[in-house]
Amino acid sequence: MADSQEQLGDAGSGRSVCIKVPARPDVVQVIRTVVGSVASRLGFPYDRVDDLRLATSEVVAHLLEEQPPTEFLVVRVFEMDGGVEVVAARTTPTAAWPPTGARHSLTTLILRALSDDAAFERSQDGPAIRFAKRRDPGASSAL
Amino acid sequence: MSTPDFREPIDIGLDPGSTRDETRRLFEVAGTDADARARLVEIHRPLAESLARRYNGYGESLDDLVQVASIGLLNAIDRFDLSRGITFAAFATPTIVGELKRHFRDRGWAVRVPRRLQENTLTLRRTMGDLAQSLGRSPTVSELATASSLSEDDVLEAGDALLAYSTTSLDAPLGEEVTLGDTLADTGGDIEVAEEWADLAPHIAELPARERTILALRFFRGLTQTEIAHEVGLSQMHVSRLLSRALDTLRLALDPEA
Repeated sequence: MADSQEQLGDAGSGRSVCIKVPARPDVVQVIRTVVGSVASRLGFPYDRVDDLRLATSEVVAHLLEEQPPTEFLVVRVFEMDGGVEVVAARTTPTAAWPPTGARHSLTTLILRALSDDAAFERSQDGPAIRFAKRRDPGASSAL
Repeated sequence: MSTPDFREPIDIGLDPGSTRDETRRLFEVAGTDADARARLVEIHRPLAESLARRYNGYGESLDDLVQVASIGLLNAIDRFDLSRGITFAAFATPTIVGELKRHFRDRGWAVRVPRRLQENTLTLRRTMGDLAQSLGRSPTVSELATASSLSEDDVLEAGDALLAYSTTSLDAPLGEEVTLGDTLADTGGDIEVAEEWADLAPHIAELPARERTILALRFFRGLTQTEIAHEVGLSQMHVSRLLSRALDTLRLALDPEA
């Protein structure tokens, strides 16, 4: 891992963690672990932690597949009121974002099922996919 | 609420007093008397079978597990020392469990996974099942860590390691098989979602039946992993692995160069 950092500060109603990792398939595990750790610290049920980790795998895979290849991925994980929000971004721009066909992509369909809110967006770090999940199924929150 | 402690002897329904006396007499001669050794095996076979059943449902047949546990029982009989002053069941239980765990380590893993991680994973699977049943919901990572005496990081790591676990029963029929079409018929108002997935239908159709079923239950009917586990009679972690594998397969089918 070429570079990593952790930030604790005001993001939403809680803290945030930010990691910057080389854009390689093997870093998926690192990112999954970070997201899972934040969610477990917030008391997520294990199966919802698992949903978050599956969603993370899909998002990272999608960001890595986009062209041109990106050098780094930047992932920010925010502790929100009653949940977690993840924003994963490429540091290398793409020609179009959201990519063509994103609405009906496998990524969108998976995120729709596994998260409570998701979107393709442009973040401060670059083209990004954001998704959020509540800790308690059916609960209303600021997500 | 606590998870089973394998160090504790199990009540196997024998008359403790008479069995203990007979066991003592048999152990006094077992070194030179094959019949006494055979009788000891007979008396304590229920203990081995009981321990084997604790590991049933993790991809190895119960018959195989009983065989493995029986080897552990024989080893325990050969090594038991009456002068130590503990009951045979208390001595034999960790020996038999060790044999069962060694069996899973040697037979069940598709890729090389460190022994510590394999043992943590087995512990986590057991704890997950026990806790989910007693709580009636998916336990939190913190609850799993407390009940399994693992750290929260170890729990998460063990959960990920399960993806490297391979068992032959993964693709076995579920019994009365549910098809994708059957499941879609139950999705009711989720027609829009189902139509969007239609583009993926050819790839979904190529998935093993069990993965298709779990995918459909999760994505079309919106069941949680715990609810799916209950519905199809698998552990939540088993469902997680199958779901992960199905998504990997779909991703690869859509982009073979990925």
